[in-house]
Amino acid sequence: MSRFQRPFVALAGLLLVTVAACSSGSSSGSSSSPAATPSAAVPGAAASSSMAMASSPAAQGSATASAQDEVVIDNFAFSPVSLTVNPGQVVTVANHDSTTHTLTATTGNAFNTGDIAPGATATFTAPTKPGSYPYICSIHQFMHGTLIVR
Amino acid sequence: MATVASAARLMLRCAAAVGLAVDAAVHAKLAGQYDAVAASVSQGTLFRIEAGAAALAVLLVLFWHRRFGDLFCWLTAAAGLAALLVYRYWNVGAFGPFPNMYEPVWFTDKVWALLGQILAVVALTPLLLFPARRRRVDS
Repeated sequence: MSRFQRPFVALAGLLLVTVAACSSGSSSGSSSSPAATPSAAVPGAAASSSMAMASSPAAQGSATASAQDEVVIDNFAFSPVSLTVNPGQVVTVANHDSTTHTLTATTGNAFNTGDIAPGATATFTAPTKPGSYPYICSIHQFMHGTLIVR
Repeated sequence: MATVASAARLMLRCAAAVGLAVDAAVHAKLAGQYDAVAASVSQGTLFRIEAGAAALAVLLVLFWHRRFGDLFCWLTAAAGLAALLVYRYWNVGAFGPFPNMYEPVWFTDKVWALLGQILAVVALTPLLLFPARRRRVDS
């Protein structure tokens, strides 16, 4: 490489770095969009929870579930943070992130979805005893939410 | 013989570039989501730094055949590989400005990043251990 080519290569490198940084910002939007691929069956981790995997695509799962029985995981956060359900109600959990998550009760093994693969959907059965049940993602334990059974 | 060695070196450089490009692409893709994992600095920012360094390394390994450039490429891949494996298997916790990046799970993007980094390290190591002799140009 001749001397006059070096500034060109350095400039190209700087350009590529800038493009990479910009692409990360734009890709986050697309990667966090609802999954259009069919749900994958992922084995659960807790024996106490009822694990019935949704067989329909995640997008369809959102459409068929009522607004009060679904938790969506997006950008490392549960939505809604607090969900109120009836005793024994089946709750759907949709993972819209690009990494695996769980929805796991913090006490008493009340419920646990097990690993939910990126873009997949899982379900669990709410406890029959009324009360407030905090839960986390067991992989990313800074993620918190609360299930209220009444 | 010299031609064979040159061809082998070129293949190693191309392999390293592919590995580094995969590393850069995966980290750039995931950076936005990992902004949520934050202390003074977010994991998303660290991913952007890795993506930028790996993208620069692609150019260096292909177009700037110098020992210092190859060392930068190797360190970029090796540091990323070390961080990935450490935070996969060891709960380091949050320390200094860094958040707790412990994530005891494999998923597709993480496996791609791992494979890219391993490929880059494997391809760059012989380039560093057996540097090419520079030709003297007599005027």
